[in-house]
Amino acid sequence: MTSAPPSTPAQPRSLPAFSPMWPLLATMLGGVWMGWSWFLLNSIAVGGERRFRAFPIIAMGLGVSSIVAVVVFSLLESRSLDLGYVRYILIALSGWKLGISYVLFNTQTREHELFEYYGGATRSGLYAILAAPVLRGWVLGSLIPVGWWTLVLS
Amino acid sequence: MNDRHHQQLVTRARQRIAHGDLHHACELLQECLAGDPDHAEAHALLALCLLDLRLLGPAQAEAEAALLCDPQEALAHSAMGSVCLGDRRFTRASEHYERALQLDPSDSYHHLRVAHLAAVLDQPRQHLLERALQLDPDDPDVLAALAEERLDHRDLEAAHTFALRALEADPESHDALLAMARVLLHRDDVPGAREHVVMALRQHANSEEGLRLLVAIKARQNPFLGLWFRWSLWMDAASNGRSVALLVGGFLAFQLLSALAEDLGYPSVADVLHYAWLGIVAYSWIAPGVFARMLAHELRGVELDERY
Repeated sequence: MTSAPPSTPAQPRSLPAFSPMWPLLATMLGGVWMGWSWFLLNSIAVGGERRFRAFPIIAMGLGVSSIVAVVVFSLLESRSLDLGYVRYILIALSGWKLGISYVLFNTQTREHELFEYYGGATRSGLYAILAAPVLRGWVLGSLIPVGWWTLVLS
Repeated sequence: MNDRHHQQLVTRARQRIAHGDLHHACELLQECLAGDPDHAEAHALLALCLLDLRLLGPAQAEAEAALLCDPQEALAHSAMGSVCLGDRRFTRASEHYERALQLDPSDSYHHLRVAHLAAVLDQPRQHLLERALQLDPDDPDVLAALAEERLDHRDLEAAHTFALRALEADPESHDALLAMARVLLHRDDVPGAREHVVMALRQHANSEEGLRLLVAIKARQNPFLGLWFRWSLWMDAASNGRSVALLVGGFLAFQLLSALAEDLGYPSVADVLHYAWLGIVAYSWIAPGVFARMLAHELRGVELDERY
């Protein structure tokens, strides 16, 4: 039995961990494609027993958003939806995505607090946030062709 | 004679822990373990001290040693439960805490640990704390935990009663002083809250909770941060579901009103609403950042120059 405390650090993790505030800001400034994928990677980086909890939440968020986007696109194509109403539907869709982002944020906050409290290294996501508006235009405007999925990923 | 000496060391270590002097407690426990390496209670206490010093790896080694020495030692299971909680293995933590409760159901400390796990998992904990209170009606830690629990439910009267009882049981209890400070802060008695935090910091000068609360009081008095702090206090009291509903509801209300104003031919109203929303968002981003910087500054404490 040893009495001297070993000075080994906590087990190393390969992915860098961030405060969940950064993916939340990334969702607002860069879009869902950036924020939610960041939440996903961050939950793995922070680790813990509930690290996969973000997966079903994101799946639900993407599922509902996709259904709304496909319906809006089909109605617009068949000219059965007045353009004036689209704006209100898009506001509701943004509210849904924001709600999912807050749920993800709340889910990860406690895990991250414990991770950080016991010496887990947390990085700053400031540079990614500064680049987010530019990346948003590039990814959603140039990299991915425009379609119903743009509404989901924006 | 030796056994008695070792037990005296453990008793002294417990006294040091109660006064927040963890480094001295570790030294006493190590001295005990040097003479009796199979002292399960000493290993378990050392694990708990190391956890409080945020040394998760060494704490796990000590908790494992405690369990190896005596698998029937309730404190060893409690220590291992706390290690698992720190490592976010909540199911294992719950199993160890339950085992500790089975082995020693009359110790309110184990009930407090289960209640703490429930708090981390956002589960109800009032019944667990009330059970602990039945076992030990004058334990200031239990009373302080009940005050915090009532505060979470915005039951300020009950929270104040429990915090007062905790302070009557032990006027120098760190947890009781902080619980009372939080209650007074919720009651807008900022000088009273500050006084209690300062008293708590006199007991544990490096208490992170104490320093966090002191910064929160400073933020409350700051004209720029005061509004955000009140909002944050109010949101903290709300459940996760309600806080999400409030934030999304606010966003939807502003966006819908702005769109409606534009459609009805009032573009200037829409602009005002748009900029008001942007202002709220910017403030809600900047204020927590400023608070975090204040807290980091306070927690950094005094750092001496390397050449000193």
